[in-house]
Amino acid sequence: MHKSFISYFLPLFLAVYFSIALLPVLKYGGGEIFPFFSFKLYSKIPDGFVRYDLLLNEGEADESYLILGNSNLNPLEKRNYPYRLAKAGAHPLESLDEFFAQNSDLLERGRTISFVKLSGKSIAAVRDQSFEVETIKRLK
Amino acid sequence: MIGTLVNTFWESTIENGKSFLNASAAESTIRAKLLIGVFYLFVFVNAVQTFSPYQEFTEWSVLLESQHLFTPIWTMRWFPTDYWEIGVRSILLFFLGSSLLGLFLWRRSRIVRASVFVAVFLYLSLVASFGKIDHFMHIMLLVSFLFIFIPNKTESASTRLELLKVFFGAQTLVLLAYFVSGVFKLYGILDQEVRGVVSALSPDSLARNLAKSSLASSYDTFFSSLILNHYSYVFSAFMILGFIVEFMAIYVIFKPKLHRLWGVMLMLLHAGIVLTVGPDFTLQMFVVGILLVFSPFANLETDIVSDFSDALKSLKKRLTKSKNEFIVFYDGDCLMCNGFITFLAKYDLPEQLRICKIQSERFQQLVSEHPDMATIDSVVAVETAPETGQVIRIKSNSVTWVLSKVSSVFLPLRLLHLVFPYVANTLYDLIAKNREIPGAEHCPIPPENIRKRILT
Repeated sequence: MHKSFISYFLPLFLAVYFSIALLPVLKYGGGEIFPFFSFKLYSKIPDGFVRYDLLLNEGEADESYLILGNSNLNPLEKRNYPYRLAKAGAHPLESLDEFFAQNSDLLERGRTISFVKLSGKSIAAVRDQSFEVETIKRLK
Repeated sequence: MIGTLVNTFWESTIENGKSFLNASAAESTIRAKLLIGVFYLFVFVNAVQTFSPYQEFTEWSVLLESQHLFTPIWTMRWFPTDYWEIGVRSILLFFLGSSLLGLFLWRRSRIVRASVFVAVFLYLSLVASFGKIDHFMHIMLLVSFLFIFIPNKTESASTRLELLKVFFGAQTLVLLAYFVSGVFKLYGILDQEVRGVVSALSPDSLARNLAKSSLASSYDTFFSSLILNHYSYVFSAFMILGFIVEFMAIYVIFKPKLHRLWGVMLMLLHAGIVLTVGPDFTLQMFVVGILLVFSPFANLETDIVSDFSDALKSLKKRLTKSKNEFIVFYDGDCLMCNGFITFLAKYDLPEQLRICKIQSERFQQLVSEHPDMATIDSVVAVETAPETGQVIRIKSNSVTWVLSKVSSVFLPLRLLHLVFPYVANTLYDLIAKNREIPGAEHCPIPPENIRKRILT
């Protein structure tokens, strides 16, 4: 068959692309390299969940979470808040300070605000709103 | 080594003596160009959508007010955050402008196609710089990259072939991405079962996936309540079927007759995910549709229903023992090929088997009828099938097919070729390239049961 630049480039590009896409899985344990696919996504069935959130309280009957059950967040907030709060879950003090430095308006939202860890069985959490709440730090 | 990998890749497109890229090149080129045009139309529509508040893209105004959430990924480290608004507006306008140019000038200018790729890349980098990378546009990005290499002019046969190669490369990329994803999901089952934790085989596996998505997005899907309240093995079976469809995408790459059928299956898979678990891959569905459902290499005379019925017939044919005559052509001057023929003699050979050297006039006649085979260095099996005419098999296809004819012991090898033809062909080519047997100088005289089957 006719051999041109593209004849060599295409198979080699495919080989290199998929090799790089597999690197995080095989070597670095999960970190994703943009713009390569995260092939591990949905490959494991989750057994329970752990999430970090802010519990906003306007009084006993008016308790809500910043992320959980809040469909009013815009798409970027939905991506950013869970990521930043999960980081704060690993390093509460430094990451929380940085988070609130960039999201100071959040501190105005509730009469009290707590940084909490939510955990439990995901089906029960969605279906019955049943999960454990552990307060890591009272922020306000 | 690299030369072998490259040659094997393109020679794996040879089906029945002819590369499907060449089979009806003029017609396929027209179709491929139309589809590439539709792709650039699709990119333009997506660019316009970034300015509309009524769509799934991140709205321009949300981007403008979200500087405080910006967490740049490596491709956005250069972004001038001091000029946030100018930067965001520039990327959005560049996306719109490039895709508009792409719509009109993709055929004429490689620079325009490259700028479409850069624009999609920048836009995707920007929206991925807020903590979590979504994958809804990755396929579009990668295909726009490959389309940079389309030749601007396609008057000659060689440039037409180049265009078709790029299109085929894009199809391969998409199918490989699904395959690797399927591999991880099937491996996930194995891994979780071995560790004794809940896996996709559990009746509540789909419900668990759904709950995970639902917790992250705070949205319900169409079947949320049904799946969460009545989970059963039926849902798990559907999910595993989806894994298998993804995994088997590798089988389809070099089977153009299945491109449309698999395209539809993958789109159904995404539709099923939107209805059940949630992640929206409708943009990806569109690219899969362009590349596979309207594949220029599919049989343009038939439709998907015929593809499905042909696939069933072919499967049935594979499962029944054929009584068709077949000739195995081998290199009479090659020790290893002679060794293969001698090896066959150890088995109870089927009556229909005939053997012939590739140095014979009979083989030269075959090559003159199938010019794509002129450079092929392979054992060739030619089956005479009364209903479909001649079926020509080369490389690992011929060797594993002949072996499976002489003994069922070789069926696993046949299966390796059927599912991973590129891998099997690469192994074949690597062995064929290094086939000198140290110390051996003369070809052995074929055993008696082989000699009587040799044609001249």
